[in-house]
Amino acid sequence: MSSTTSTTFPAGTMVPCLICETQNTLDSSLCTSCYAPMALMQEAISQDRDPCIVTVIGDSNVGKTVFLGMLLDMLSKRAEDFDSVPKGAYSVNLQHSVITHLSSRQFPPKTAMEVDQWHWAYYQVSKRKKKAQIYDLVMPDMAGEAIAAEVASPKTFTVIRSLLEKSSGAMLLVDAALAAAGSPQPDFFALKLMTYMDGILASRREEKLSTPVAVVLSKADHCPECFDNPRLFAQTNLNRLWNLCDTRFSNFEFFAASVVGGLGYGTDEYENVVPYPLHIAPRGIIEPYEWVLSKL
Amino acid sequence: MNEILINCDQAIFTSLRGTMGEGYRIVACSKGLKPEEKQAITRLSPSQDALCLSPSDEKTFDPSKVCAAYYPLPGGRLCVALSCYAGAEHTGRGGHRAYTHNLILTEEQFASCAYNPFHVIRAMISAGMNTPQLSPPQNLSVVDLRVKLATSGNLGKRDPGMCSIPVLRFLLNAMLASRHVVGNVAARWLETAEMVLLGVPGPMRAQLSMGAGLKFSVGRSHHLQLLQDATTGTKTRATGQHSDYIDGCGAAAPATPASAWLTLVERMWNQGDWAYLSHRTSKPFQDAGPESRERLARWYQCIDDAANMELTKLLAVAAEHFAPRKDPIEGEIVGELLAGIQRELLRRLNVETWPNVFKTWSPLLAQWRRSDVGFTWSTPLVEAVFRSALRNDPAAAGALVMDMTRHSTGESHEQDRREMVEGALMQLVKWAEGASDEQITPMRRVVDSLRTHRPACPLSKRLLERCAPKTPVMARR
Amino acid sequence: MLLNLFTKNKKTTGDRRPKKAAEVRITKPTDSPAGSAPFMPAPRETWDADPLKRLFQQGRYNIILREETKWRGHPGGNVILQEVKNELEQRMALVPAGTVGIPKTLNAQPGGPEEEVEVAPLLMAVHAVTNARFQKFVDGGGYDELSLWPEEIWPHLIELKDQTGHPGPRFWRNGRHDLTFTDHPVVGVSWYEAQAYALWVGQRMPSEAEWQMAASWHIKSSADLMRRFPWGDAMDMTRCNLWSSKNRGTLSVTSYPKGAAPNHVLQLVGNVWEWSDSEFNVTDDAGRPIVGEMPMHVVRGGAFDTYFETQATSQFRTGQLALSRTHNTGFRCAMDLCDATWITGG
Repeated sequence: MSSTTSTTFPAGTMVPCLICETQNTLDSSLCTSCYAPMALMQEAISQDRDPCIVTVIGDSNVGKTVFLGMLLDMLSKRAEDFDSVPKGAYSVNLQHSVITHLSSRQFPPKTAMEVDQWHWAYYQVSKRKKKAQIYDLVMPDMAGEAIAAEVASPKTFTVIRSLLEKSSGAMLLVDAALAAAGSPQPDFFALKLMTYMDGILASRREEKLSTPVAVVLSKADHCPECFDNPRLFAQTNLNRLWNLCDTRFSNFEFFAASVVGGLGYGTDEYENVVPYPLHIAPRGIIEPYEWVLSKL
Repeated sequence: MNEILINCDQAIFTSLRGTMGEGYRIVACSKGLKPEEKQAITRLSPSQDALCLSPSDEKTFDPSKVCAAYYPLPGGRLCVALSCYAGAEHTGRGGHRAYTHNLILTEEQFASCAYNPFHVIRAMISAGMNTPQLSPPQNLSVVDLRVKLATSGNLGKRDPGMCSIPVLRFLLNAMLASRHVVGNVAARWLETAEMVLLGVPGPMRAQLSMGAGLKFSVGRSHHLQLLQDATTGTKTRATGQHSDYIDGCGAAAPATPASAWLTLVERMWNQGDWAYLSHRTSKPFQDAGPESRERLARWYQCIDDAANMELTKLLAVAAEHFAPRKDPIEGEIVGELLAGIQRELLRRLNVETWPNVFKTWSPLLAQWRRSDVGFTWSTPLVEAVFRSALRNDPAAAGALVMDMTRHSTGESHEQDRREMVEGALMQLVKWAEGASDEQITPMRRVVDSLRTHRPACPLSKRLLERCAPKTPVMARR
Repeated sequence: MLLNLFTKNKKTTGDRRPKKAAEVRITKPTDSPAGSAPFMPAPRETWDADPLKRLFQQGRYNIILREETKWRGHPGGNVILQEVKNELEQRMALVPAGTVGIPKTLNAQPGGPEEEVEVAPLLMAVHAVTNARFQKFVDGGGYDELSLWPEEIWPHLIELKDQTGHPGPRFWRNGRHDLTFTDHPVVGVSWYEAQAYALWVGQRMPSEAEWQMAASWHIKSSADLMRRFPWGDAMDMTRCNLWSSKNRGTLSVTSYPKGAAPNHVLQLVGNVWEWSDSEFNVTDDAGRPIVGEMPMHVVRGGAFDTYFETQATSQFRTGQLALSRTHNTGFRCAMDLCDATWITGG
């Protein structure tokens, strides 16, 4: 990871980590405490603007990497008149990986649990219009297992807590296909995650949490009814999550999203079932993001 | 004892789809695991693509190859982890599934395994724990594991494909300073790790951590991380996290400071004598700090070098070590040192020329008189010198007896000393009674001295009689 | 007559109303939630009592031609027969004979395994079937005519409903399409519905080889040219409706006239995926089969939401579950040249 900052500092200058605020030397590549890239802070310093952290959270294999990689690529293709500028070449790595894999009809590899292996994207985003507000967005691609471990046993991955504490908005991905198939797992996991967020973000139990949370029903191509009415789908299939959002969050909305237009299944040499994205037809990717931005 | 049985908790960390979720997590464990231990295992276990094995490269992939780690857990127990690949990732999302079987050992169990996690790793492999269980029951039972404590033969001679001695020395030096060090050591991570680890004093190993064959991750920053990865990214990230980095396959290793301990270990690396190295370093030392290590190394050095030391040097070394030790392990080593020197001296006193032997007499006598330990240790040596004198220079033997007679060894050994003197006198008498007059002549000066110091001693009288100048018979008549 | 099939003098509408060429009406996906334009149901057409006129009105031209001799004796029959031929002449275009290579592996690379398929000359619809055209099928009782549906699908016929539970494409309401999308390709139809429609009008769906022949124009010639896109070898966003075109929905079947194939067949690439008659059989690089949750049929050409241009070429093949009724898949019809008696004289 390299910094593009032009600001010069004397040797030995200490700077806080953007995520956990631990003091690090300026030449550190990763925070010594939470292992987030220090380039984020260097970018923030060079921008002289407080960046917004928007987190994409959810269970393992729910589609966070594909969703985020696709979103970043769509932004860089000026989808919905967004203008986005990656700050630092490292910010492009995620979309590069996702797009390279999807275009060759493969899903990108699973995100490792090791925090320093995560991709981080720092983008300057605005609408292509005069006097449009510019957002500096930091979006990490977190491993679902790490999120699950932190939720189940706080302080396992401190970076996750720090990230959520600092998040201006979140996109919570829930596997709609699994929920539609009757599995309680998506509902329970999302419930735990939102409870965890509530626990670390809410100042008083009586007050609803105002952090905007877009609940994204991922893999909605498996259950097209999601697109018809995501709220209704959530009320029906993710009732526990729905009720918690309704009770504790003042800024939430449900969206359906899918990236794959057709899915095939093969096997590998170990007889594991391997899903293949036959063709790519992103749907509902920008909408939750746009909604979160509108609420910041 | 060559084999021990340990009884410990276990946990399996891998990526599976289950009713309670999917992906990497502890998928099965025994009931004794504490929450904070589970947390540490979750954080430190390798996940997607974290092993330095390349299953996609069929030419180089060796399915029997494993990766290993050990690290202290919160609460004082230690985790010994054996990792391997378990086929493709079940989600089909590229990459290969890492599978890790963890055993949780108490400090006592770790000590009973000679502080060597590789004994446990080998036992785990023997027990089939490198064969992934992809449908384990959620609750595992406690493991009964037979651990063989033999190091010899597991490592073999260090071959040219392994990293150089200076690299090993660099890695060990970092470990001894409790610094974090990352080394690219090609595919020989397990052997190299064991070699380095055997250079660390046993109890100190329990405070450190090690990963072998795991890709570098700052969140899993073990003290010793040996891997196969020459990418500059690893070096940058490692150094950024204040870890030393060394490319064991390429660049020359930076110089390490002079250290008796490092030199000692280096010598054993060169000899490939792993059992001996393990024996030397795996004792339950109370203090394994830098000063203690240097002290221990010097002792071991002396033990090993005794055959090459001059007689007087041997005595000088021995003279330094009669003081009692607080640490029983140190006392044991010093005992081994003194016994070794004594053994060597006894051997040499029997074969050396008398002038050389005689040079030892004065320092030996000093030890003999100095303390209880000195008396006990030097008594057989004194006797050996006396025997040598008797063989080569009886007059000198007589002088030795006189020395022994004149110098007190303190009340506690007075009786022993007397018996020794009498024994020596007896031998001297026997020798004199069988000797010719010519042989006797040089003894007369000694006998005069005996008259002064042991006038009532019957042996002295016998000797005096034998040594008295004889009047020619004819003349008397 | 044959030459006429290659002329530009073709109708550019799916229905018979004149439209401006390349009219671009940006619409939200047809199933988008709240916020989309109000639904304007298409009016119900009154069928003529005369059977021949009704068939003509329903656009079932090939059905009429099958009994040409019978209809010649029908009052006004000859006039209608001539109109039928005119219509078909306008609506169908000749795809010459040729060979195509159908990739056999999923990650088809140049030089990878292919199946060489000889394609006989055929006629292919210039446009994909529009909502207006499909409305005639719905109104004409196509969903109730069991002979149009394979027996294995009969238990599922009851599921082929619109949003209000009436028989029809998935995004319709009360059996009506939205007038806003009259000349857009019908979407939300399964492969079975597409096949039933084709049978109802007396035609068929093209095989994937035929579709690829039409799009790649790999005709038998000494030049041995094969196009990546119907208009040439380079992607051109002014010639097709893909994700990068930023229309975010289907367009009229007459839009993007510059993207036509040499025989003026429109929108082979972009706007909607098109069902083909072929089953989707493909393997990974190691030869292991790749299958769907249910049987899949080949779809070709990409759609308005196709993200990668490489997935909207004349060679790219993918599959959809035969029963899926997605917002981006439609179809077009084809017929054998031997059935075009007005051309072949047979």
